[in-house]
Amino acid sequence: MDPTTGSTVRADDLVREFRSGTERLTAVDGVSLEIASGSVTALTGPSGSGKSTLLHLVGAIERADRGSLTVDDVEITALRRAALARYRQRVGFVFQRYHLLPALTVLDNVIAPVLPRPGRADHQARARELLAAVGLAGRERALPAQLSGGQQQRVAIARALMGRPRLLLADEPTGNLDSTTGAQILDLLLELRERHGMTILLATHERAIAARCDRLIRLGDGRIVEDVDLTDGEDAADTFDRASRLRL
Amino acid sequence: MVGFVWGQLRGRAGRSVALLVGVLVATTGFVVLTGATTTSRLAVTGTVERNTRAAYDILVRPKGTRTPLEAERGLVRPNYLSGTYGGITTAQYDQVKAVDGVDVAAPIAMLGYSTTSIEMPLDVTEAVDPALDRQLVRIDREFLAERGLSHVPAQPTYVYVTTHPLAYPIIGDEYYPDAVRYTDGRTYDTDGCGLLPRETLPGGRTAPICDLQVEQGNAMQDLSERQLWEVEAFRMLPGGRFLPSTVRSTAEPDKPVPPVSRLTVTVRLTVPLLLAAVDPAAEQRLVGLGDAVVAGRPLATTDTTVVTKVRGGLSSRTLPVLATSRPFLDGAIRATYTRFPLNRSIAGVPPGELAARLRGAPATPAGGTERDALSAYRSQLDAGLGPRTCCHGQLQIVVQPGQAAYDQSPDRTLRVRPTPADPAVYGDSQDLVTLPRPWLSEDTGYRPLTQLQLGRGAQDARQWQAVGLFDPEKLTGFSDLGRVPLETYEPPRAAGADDRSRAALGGRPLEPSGNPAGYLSAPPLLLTSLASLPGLLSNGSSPQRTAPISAIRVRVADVDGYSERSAERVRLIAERIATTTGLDVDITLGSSPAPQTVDLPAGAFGRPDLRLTENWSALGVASVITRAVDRKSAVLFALVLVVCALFLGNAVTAAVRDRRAELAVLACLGWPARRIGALVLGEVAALGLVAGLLAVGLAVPLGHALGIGVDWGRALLAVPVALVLALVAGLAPALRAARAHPAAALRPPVAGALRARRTRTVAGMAVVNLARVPGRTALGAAALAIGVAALTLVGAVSFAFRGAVVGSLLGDTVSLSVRGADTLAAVATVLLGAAAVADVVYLDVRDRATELATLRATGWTDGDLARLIGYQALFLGGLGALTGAGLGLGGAAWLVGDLPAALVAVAAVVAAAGVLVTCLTALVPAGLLRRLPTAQLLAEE
Repeated sequence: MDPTTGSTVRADDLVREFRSGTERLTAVDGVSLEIASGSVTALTGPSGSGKSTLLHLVGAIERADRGSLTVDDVEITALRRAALARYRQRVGFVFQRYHLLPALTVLDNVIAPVLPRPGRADHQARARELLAAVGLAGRERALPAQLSGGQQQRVAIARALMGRPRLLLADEPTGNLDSTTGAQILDLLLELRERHGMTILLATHERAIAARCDRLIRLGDGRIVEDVDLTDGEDAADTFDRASRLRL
Repeated sequence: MVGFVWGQLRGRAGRSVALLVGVLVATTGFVVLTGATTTSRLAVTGTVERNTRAAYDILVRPKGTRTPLEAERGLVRPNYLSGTYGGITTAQYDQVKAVDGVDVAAPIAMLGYSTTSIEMPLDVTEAVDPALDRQLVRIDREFLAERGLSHVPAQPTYVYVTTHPLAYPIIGDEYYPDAVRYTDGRTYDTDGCGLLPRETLPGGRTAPICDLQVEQGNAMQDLSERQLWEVEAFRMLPGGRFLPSTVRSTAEPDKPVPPVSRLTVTVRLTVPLLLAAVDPAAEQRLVGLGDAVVAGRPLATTDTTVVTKVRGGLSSRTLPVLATSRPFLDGAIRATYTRFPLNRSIAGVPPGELAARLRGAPATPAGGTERDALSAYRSQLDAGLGPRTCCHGQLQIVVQPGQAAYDQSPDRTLRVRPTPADPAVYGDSQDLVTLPRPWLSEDTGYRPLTQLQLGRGAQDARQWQAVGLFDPEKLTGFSDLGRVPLETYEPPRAAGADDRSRAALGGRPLEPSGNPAGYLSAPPLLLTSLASLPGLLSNGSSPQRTAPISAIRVRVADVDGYSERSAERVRLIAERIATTTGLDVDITLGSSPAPQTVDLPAGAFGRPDLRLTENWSALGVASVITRAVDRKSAVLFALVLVVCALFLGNAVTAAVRDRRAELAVLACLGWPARRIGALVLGEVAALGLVAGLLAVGLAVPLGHALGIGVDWGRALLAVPVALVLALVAGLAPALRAARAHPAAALRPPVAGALRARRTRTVAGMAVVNLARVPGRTALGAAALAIGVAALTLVGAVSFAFRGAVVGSLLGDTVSLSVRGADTLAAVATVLLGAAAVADVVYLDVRDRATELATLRATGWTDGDLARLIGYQALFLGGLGALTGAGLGLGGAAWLVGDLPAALVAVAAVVAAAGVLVTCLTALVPAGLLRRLPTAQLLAEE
């Protein structure tokens, strides 16, 4: 796999609002942050705090109403639909519910993001390589329904890596998994980060997961209420202890 | 319950409106189209006994031409064209020509009888006694016709022969009758006797040798040809030669007139010839008229009446005609000569006193001769075509005979009713009459005569001049077997039906006599072009000016000999002509001679009562226009409902699937199954009811706009139709909803896959998606297939088989012809089918929205997603269209027992059109992709 450099993400006074009838809900309310290249950042906070919406904004599957969002110095909020689609091709996205296509095999699910583009043979080889990397070699022809939850999420991670992303976004990637499997998935993500140097931004409400990240950003009512650098001169045990004290 | 139903419909307003529009379109379309189900059908009865084919297969005549007797006996009388003068407009002719499947449409406009004069030279040399100083030869003429059975003496005519000098008038372009110079150097007043020779009487005085020419010439309209007579003067020279009486010209007054050794005088017979106008090009294709020309040139479509202005403001119009070389004349003149020696000249004797002066005078029989009209006509033809030779005739008076009337005897013998003659029909003093009436015009008539209303007055001279001669025997286009009296140019002949009649006729058949009102009527013997008619008719008041055509003979394409298939094809074309033009249509294919016994009452000139056998034409089949339900159309219209039911069924099924959670909750709350089913049915029924009521209001104006009769009674049919349609479509989903288990709510809207399929392309993914919902895919494809099959059949009939296909189905000969309403129904079915496919695609987009959102989140562009949806529409449309085209193609091939390339081409075009329309309609659901709430969908799951 190609060694890459992770993306740098900058948000400045980012706002995203939703309307429901006459009611207006501000899901992301003036968020400003900067995420360093190659870092693993956890977004935490209670339900409705804006974690997923912030991820969606960074992943360009939702548009900000106000503010600025740059990824590798590209202003995302100014991109048109076609450019946004091209941007998304360089971003990996992992969902809580995996969102695998049930009618496609594991291999085809991994290939799906690049299916419309030429290079079928290369796609297959890379997909097999990725599946091997996530520990699913030999299950290429299985259907998603034939896999466990952890395996399905591994497939989703392999699919997210198919486009050689410099930025990986994960929305509660372990939310539907038991703690052991969740830990394995995080191990996998961290290992991939080590191997490819990509930037990872994940939303989670699990302390154990958040504690293993480089940085923790806690959101509340769409705002950043806490921003903690977890690598600041502490070893892993301290990190865990501190994490256990964290109010997630 | 009602409130619940209303709440559901309002809650899904967009979907409800879509279903409402579907039912509305189908119901309105069905109700309007059924207004065109009842159609005019040409019903045929009877079977053909002889394998015959005439030059044409269909005879089109003006409405009401078919006589009750013809209708009763399934016959067409001989010379059916007689008595039919116009009635068909050129616009109707164009309509007939435009009917698909018509190979040749040959119009014929009957105009009536013109007359011409046939000259019969009589050599009276032997009747002259060269020893006599002066003598008169009386020629007693007897006119004969109808195998000599009709005969009548005429006024005698005279030849005056003198050995004394005669003086002859000398005239130029202009002369004054009261002062005409003669060859004796003197000037005489010719007002009394005209330009006749003068003989020198004892004492040096001269006197004219008068006859009645001038007096009779001024009253030609009152005279029959047998009343005409003249005195023709000759000078007998020493040596037995004769000097004819010739008017000298002022240009060469002293030019000697050569003497002749034979003394020949000319008697004339006025012969009626039937004149008709045809389209020379069509006639050439029908019977090879151009190829039958034996002298001169063929008639051209561009031949028109030639108008020339002559001095004194007189205009002369000459109609170009093709004259027959076989005039079918059964007439003769028998001449008997009697010589009267004269001891003094007849010069100066008033014509009226001549016969009295000869009475009691010594006379010597001097021979005689008989000349028949046919030989005389041929002799004229031998002289060659030209204004002074052959062949020409007058058109001042054109007489139109009507139809003969019959009384029927108990033994089915027909007795012809005599008709009083009307001499006035041959013109009066206002007409410029140039020929006397035929002598037979005084014979007993059997047809009422009228006059073609042409311009009147002495300033308008009309005549015809032959540009060529045609031989009817050389006309082709029909076999001997098919040579029935329906043929336009066949002379009608009637043989004696009993010994007495056969003996009277001398074993020969009776032929047209030369009496325009005679029973046997001649075929058209003079043909002009249709283009000449305006020039002939323009000054008159004949109704033929606007509707000149009397009959159209139609040959149908792709008919070769008689067979059931051919007969059905001819019936179809005849039906189309009848319904398009409203004219009387008879199928002549398979017609054969049908001898009828006819009693012909005795004529005024000696012909006795005759019992004749006349060959009428028995139509192969009797045809009558009836109103009947077009079953093919009814099936097509019903298909509109079937396709709509499939469309609706799919939509209601999807709606029930959407609401499975809600229905499961109702089931958990204790709603009985039948009530849940009734809820679904109630919603669908409410939609049907509203759509039906709206259709009632739409059907009447829409029918009016399309020219289809839809009354309010028929429009009200929309309510039950829409209701039943909705209930039928909703029944299966309602039953499924009623049987739904609460746990059904937990199932995903779209199933996964039972087995893994390799999907390495976007197109492959589209195929997988279709395979995941096989029922829905099958319904959509079936809806389109039905439409495409119907349109393929309609298209095949319209284009590959020129609007009508005849074939055999389960041993029966059947035919399909396409009407506008059929095409409309087929197109509507295809459009509804395409809408059904689009709905399938829409449901797929909606049900798999999360999957599509996932693909978008992983980098698929809008174009990539649209391509995926486009492929689904293409494959679904292709499946339906190819299946439908195959079914339509197979059906048509089965029907006709053949698979012509044109049929395959039509099927291919219809299938391609079906796919194209489907892809276009799929643009609507594809457009929804842009509005897909990606983030929301991904977060919801």
